[in-house]
Amino acid sequence: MTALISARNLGKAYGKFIALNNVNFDIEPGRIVGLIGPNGAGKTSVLRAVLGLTSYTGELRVFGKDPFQARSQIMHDTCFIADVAVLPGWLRVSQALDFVGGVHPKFRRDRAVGLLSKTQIKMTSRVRELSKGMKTQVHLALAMAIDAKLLVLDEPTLGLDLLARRAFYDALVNDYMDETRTILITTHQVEEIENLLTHVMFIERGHIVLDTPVEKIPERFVAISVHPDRLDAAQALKPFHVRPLMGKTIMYFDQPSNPALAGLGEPHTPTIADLFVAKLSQGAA
Amino acid sequence: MNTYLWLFRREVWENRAIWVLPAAVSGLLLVIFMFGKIQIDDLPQHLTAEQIKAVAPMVFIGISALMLALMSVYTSWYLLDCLHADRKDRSVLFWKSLPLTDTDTVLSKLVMALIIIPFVYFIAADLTALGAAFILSLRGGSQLAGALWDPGTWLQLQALSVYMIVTGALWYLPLTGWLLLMSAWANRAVTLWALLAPLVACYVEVKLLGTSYLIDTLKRHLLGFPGVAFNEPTLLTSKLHDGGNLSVPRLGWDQFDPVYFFSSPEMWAGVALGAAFVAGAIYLRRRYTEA
Repeated sequence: MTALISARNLGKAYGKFIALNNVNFDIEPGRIVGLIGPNGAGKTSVLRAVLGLTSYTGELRVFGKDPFQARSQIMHDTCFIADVAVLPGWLRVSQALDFVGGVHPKFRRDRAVGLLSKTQIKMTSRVRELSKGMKTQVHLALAMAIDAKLLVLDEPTLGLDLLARRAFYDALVNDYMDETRTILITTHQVEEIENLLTHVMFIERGHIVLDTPVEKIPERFVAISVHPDRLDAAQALKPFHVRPLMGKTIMYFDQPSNPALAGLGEPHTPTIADLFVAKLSQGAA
Repeated sequence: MNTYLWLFRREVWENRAIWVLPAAVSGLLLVIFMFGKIQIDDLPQHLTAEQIKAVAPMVFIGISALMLALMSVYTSWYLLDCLHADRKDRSVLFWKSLPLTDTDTVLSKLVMALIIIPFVYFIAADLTALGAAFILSLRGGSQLAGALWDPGTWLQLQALSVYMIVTGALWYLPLTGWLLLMSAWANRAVTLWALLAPLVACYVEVKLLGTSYLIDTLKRHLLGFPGVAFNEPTLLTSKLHDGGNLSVPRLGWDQFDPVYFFSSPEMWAGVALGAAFVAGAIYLRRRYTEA
């Protein structure tokens, strides 16, 4: 299968600051990929490069095209929602539908109207009159009414309350996602998208430190709640992260099949959030 | 083409002042013509029919000049704002999430400023002139009415407006391009940058090199438009009294000088510079996210 997005030695520097350093990855159609990393790790740089909003070094192909040279073409098949990409306050909801319908060949107005009719939002309202949650609903309705192959979400739920966040992701999964679509998403709230993702990429200081399908995590990593009397034996096996937790010690290993791990304690599959903390503390140590 | 229609519509949605401002001024002028204490009753008594005919177009020229001045101020503001406002309110990434090129975006704003907004003001000036002629005819009597409804005057007025829009757009392209460039570049205090940068450049030239080439060129270009687009200034006015000093603006086909204008090297040099500024604005618009 050909990759929808493919990056080879992708690099980006802002003056002396290196935001991305030799980043390599492929994203194939039908995936929901979480790009996860701490602030300043390079998440937004990756997304901006993918969306054609910034120049870069190395090679990057989205739908087989160079995004910086062909941004408007890529946007025929791409939708983008970001906390930082707000709708302008002067725009009326009806005008937003008119305009997007006018310039986007793949926009299905009836679908956007259908989605908005389930909300309290009035067509004649200006964006500035809407609450933060409503603004996101309008934006999501616009994005979901576009028959795009790629949806890029950059901290889409930042500043929303729990209800609005849950509604956002439910709409995404129930009304939007199917096997022909691909979603690339970044967020700080890993727990919230944990069950959504098919793949995770961890990024730290401009490097991809982990790129794996979610279903492979049990084969690659194990967390063991180590018996107090086996601590030394467990340490000898070089866990990549040790976390004391309410009197217990949890150790993270990256070779679950290693027979020496048996009997150290209770094994379980780490959550993505746990793995994220473990992997990134490892880098900081 | 369809894309551009939507882009223009977008500009009018965002900047309602494009039509609200000229409509309001037009309305205000008509109210003044309607109720103002203009001494039109006196005019016919000590002016000959010939003189009335010379004075009448003044009304129209005055309206056009006022609209033109207003348009220049508004358009400058529009240009400084148009590539800055959506960066300030962070909606630029929304616009960039649509299948529109940055070239389309910048050019749509340029066309708004150079052609569409001027035509809105041209239409506003025309409608105001029509309304004023109607009101003054009623208030001023038959002699003035005859002079106001002269078809030749009206035709010349239309020609003058269209000629001014076309030649003005070309002549002031460097200014337009510069304002667009600053709008695309500055993150704050756009107006200040747009004014300060050339002033500082002029100052530096005078202080360091002892020459004043830059400021002379700027002055000549900014003020030189009538001299290049029109024939000698003496043709722009006519003497009201024989041998008197009082002269009034007049209309005439002999005023236009398109041959001189379109063969002016300075005009074409300005167009080239303006095009370079516009290209710079497009370049910055593409890369803005790197800041």
